[in-house]
Amino acid sequence: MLTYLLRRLLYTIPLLLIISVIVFLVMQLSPGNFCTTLKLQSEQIYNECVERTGIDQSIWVQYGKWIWGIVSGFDFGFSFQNGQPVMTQLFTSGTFESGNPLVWTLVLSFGAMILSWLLALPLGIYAATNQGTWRDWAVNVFGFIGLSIPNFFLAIGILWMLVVVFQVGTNCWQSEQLGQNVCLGVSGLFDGGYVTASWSGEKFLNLIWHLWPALLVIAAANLAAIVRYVRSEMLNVLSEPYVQTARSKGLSERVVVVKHALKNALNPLISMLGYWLPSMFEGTLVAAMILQLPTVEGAYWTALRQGDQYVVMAGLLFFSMILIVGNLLSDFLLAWVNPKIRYQ
Amino acid sequence: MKKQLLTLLLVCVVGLGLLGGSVDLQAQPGSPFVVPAVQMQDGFGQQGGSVTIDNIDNPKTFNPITQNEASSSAITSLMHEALIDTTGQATLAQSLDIAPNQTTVTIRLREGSSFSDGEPMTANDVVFTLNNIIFNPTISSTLKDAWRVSGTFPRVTALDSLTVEIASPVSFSGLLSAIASTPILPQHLLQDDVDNGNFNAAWGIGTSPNEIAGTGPFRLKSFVAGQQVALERNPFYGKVDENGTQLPYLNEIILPVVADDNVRLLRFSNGQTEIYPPRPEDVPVLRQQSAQGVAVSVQEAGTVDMNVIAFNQDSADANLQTLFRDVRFRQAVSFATNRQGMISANLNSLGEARFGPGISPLFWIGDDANFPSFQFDLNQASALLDEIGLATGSDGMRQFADGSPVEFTLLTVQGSTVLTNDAVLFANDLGRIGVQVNVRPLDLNAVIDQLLGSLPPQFDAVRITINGGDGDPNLLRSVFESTGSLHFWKFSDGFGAGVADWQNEVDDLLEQQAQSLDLNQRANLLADFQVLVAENQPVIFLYNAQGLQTFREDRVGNFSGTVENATLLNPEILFRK
Amino acid sequence: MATSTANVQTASTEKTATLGSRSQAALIWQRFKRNKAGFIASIILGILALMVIFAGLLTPYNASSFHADANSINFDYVPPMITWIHFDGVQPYVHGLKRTYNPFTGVKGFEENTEERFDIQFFVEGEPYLLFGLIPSSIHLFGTGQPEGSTGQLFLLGTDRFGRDLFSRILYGGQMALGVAPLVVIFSFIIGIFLGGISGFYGNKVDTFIQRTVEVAMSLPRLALLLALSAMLPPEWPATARFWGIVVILAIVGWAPLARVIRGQVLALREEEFVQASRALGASDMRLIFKHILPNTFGYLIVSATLAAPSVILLESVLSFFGFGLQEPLVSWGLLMKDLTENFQFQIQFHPWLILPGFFIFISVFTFNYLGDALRDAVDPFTISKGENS
Repeated sequence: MLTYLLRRLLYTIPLLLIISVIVFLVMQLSPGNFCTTLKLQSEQIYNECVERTGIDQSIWVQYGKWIWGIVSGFDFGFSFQNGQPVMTQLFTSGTFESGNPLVWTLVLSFGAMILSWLLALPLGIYAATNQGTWRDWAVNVFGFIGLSIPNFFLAIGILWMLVVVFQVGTNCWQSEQLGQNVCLGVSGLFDGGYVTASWSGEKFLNLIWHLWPALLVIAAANLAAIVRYVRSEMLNVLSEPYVQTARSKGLSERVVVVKHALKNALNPLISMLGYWLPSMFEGTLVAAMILQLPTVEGAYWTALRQGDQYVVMAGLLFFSMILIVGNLLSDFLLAWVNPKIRYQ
Repeated sequence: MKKQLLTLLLVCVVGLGLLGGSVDLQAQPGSPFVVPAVQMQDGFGQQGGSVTIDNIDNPKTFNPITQNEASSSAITSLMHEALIDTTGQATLAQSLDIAPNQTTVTIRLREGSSFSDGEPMTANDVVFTLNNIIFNPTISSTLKDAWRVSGTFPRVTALDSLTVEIASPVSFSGLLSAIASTPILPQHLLQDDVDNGNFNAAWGIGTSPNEIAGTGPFRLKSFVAGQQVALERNPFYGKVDENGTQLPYLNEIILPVVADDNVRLLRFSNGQTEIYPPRPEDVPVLRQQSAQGVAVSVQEAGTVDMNVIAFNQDSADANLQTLFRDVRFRQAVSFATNRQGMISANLNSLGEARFGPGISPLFWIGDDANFPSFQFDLNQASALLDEIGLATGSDGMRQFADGSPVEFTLLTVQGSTVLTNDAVLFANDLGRIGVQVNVRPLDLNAVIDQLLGSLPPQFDAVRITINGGDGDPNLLRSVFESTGSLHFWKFSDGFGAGVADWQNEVDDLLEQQAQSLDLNQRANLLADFQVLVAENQPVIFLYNAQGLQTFREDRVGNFSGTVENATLLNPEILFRK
Repeated sequence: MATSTANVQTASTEKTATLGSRSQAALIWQRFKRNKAGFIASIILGILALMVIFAGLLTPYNASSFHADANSINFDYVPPMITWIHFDGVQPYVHGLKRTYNPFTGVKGFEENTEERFDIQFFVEGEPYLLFGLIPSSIHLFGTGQPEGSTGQLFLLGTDRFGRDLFSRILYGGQMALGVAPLVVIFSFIIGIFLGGISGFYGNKVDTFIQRTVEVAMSLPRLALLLALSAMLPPEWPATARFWGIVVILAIVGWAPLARVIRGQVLALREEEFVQASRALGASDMRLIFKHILPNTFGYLIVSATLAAPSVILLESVLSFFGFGLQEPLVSWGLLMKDLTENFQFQIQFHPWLILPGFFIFISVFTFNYLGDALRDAVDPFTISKGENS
């Protein structure tokens, strides 16, 4: 198993290399470059930009330098926008109080994953135990509704509802920590002074208030699929003989479902976790753009709009990495819950 | 969201109409500048409180010289201030003297003025800012062009620790504008960067706040990428109100980073921000809100952006080249353009039709009854096309003499709804006089490449916006002079030769007004220029979008407006109610 | 984003493959008919598809024609007139349009001018169009038959900012939205079947190489890459070429999982007796792949095509929303949603009918999912819906 793990990890290196070439070519083929817009201001500013960013060099020189920087010193280049290292720009800018993009990406993606499973498990079980009734049907419809609303629309719709319909901004309180009046806000992660304030219960509650729309938007797209899997796994297990036996022993339905069926149904579901990871990150991309979340995805989107080459490339590599890790994770979880699978 | 207006950014330099003599309201040397109470429409404010304004993106730099876009300038403009204000009055400086020969300006600084880190500001800092930074060939800055007079820069010398002399080789109408646009930077913080040739990267967004200082009302407190910029009051700011209260009134200005237009509006509606520059279509939303009792004030602020459709007069297609160079064709197109339709569909009717170039209000004659007019008139347009000899084919479309259809491609920027909508409407209008226009939205970079990437340019026609016309009229030279860097419709060899007569006349007029220091003479020259351009329609002028601003009346006092949608006009007298 | 990669297990193919293909189809149909939700979904989708295909005939106007009054002032933001249809006996009619203005908010609007009456006519002569993109015609199913500039217009679902008829735009836009989906699915299937088929059939080095390619493709972040890719479509391309460019890009990021599953199925089928038998009879490789193996994966293909379609529809709308998708003057549901979201608060508060294209996206994604579910259950009753009949 350990050798398999090592082999798979080693194998991601050429994979990432190929992906980096693809990613680089994609950037190079886009019309114009980061500096092009500066032509409108003056030729000198444009030339200075070209010199600073080195985009006039041949693409293989650029690519070689970039890859060499990564290999030799884990240096992913710098951002054309502001000269910062890419790693800072994408992942680590921020303080302990404000958090950094990597942390927020992980919080959002895993938060959304946990939320969707917390919702999907009871819904799926409920649907399975009420199979064929209108309740089963209602759960199904509910899931599909979440899936069918484009998530950019859901995101902006939620914000609009909060502001215009529920007028959340009229709910204010005197914050002891900040010493000022704070009202409920929308978008971003914190209201006003909480961004730089030290961590406290108050700040945490404020964060939760800002997180839930994002988590909901990300989870909605995936809820239906997870509910369906939970439901069908539960149905599989519920029709197994040992469940019938448990029932015939006179155990209550609750005990049968939770103790016997759920435990066994969970195993294959756990193996699915890895597959959902990438789609959670994809959801975070859209949520970050609309809800103004300072995540890796947000930084990637800004860079993409401005042709900030190295940041976009590093961002794409990061997302690829997530996909690869997700696939790897699924394979391991699958083996872990199902010892019959062997690695060759 | 992605807001890609194809905008030709002229240098953002404030316009100065008056070239007055020295104005010296304060007799007492060493005292701070007293902001006259008449400027405070809501009266004196009290110190304290904060105001929140959403910033459209992360700032790219805190360097006021190398910054070149709005998300950075919104912040640097609060941290830095020039020696004189936009009316030519000495503010942070004690006095300003213009020598009788009109080429030498002497600036006297106030005793005891200091930067926001407490270090004194002296004549050396002024000389350093101009000689070592702005006139430095290795440093690129949009301010450079404002200072350049007939190819060179003025000579700047420190006469003593508080007096600076700026001597221009010739009389130059833009000199005061240049002074009023240039912030003074601290030599003690930036000398090393300039010496190392590192100035272009100095004061980047990773810089610690205590290493940045300026003379503006606020100084940097903290910056968290993707979340917010916080500015705090500059305790060393050199202005007081008439009660002697140290300005600025506000303790803090918070600028959260919010890139999405819709979200910025929602945040303003929700009371999270106090000031918001709305889009035209936000106005009904805000008016409705104020009808529901929220103290939202919507104000109109003038802007003189030029929204135009330009034709490539050096098109490789011989038919199109002849056509685009024919003034009758451009006039026909101008007649066929339904400007009111564009204003109604795009600007929610908050704009005015324009037939000539936008220019700073001081010299504006576009509303004159005698000004050339091209009101929507399809019959007149058709008559002009007939006159050119474009016959109508059996399908109702116009044809060249060789029988090929009159057809061209109009570029717009992908993702910019306003530009694309205008183009779609324009194509529809021209279809009605038998000219086929194919609208093609492209990536912004691709459009710029087609405009400026090669000589002659590649495009047929393009819908663009030219900003900055409300600044000094000298800025228009790069657009309207045949050799200007933004004269993208060409019809010349790119060096000014072989141009039309009227274009030569325009070049002369613009050159003359640049050297004229007599306001009346300058106004006359610029009036001739405007009429000449309007008659010839080198580009099809469309409309002026109404500048707009909103703020919460119940929370903010002395709000006097914004420039360029982001920069506060008088941040020092703003106060929190 | 929807991720509805069908997880049909290969284990079941052994069973389906041994069934005769005719009786298999009959079985599938029988099972499908029993699933009421799926059946209703397919009817709704069918109606939608017909409406979209016959858009030219069904709509009173063309998608991108501007409507204005006699003074060339647009009929912008006319509210849906579907509630303004009156009946005189059996003869439906509408009143003329009259402008209103709210001086406080500055919002313009329209109301019925009861002094004017325009009968709604059927099979009326109107703007010329091409039915199915081929047959020139100018007959519209219904309309007022009034000339351009008349106040007697019939904007069933209202108009947009230019006075373009939303009903017509939705139907024409559906051609794009519903057209992109099958095209993308077909393209990614061609790649997927070809590579997956070859990979599974030949095995060894070819297999290894193709599998590595698949792994690279599956490790590319879909949405992030899509945004970067569509920014790089050549600028010289006209709008229609962009459409195809986007179809290809969507296919490029979507083919890999498919190839992988097909390979698995082919691997299993390759060892089946009937394939071995044909091989023994001297059938060529290509004949084996296309004649014997692929038809047996057909059920799976149908199911995953149905399940892939909604995610393509959603992706198209997301791309358009971010300005990277189709461009004016093309019209698609995604672009129509962009009209709404561009000035969201203004449109939703003053012109809420602009949300209707979103409703069509919703309905089609929703029903496609149900249809896909039902088809999967019908094709492959042994996996997902095992307990359905117990």
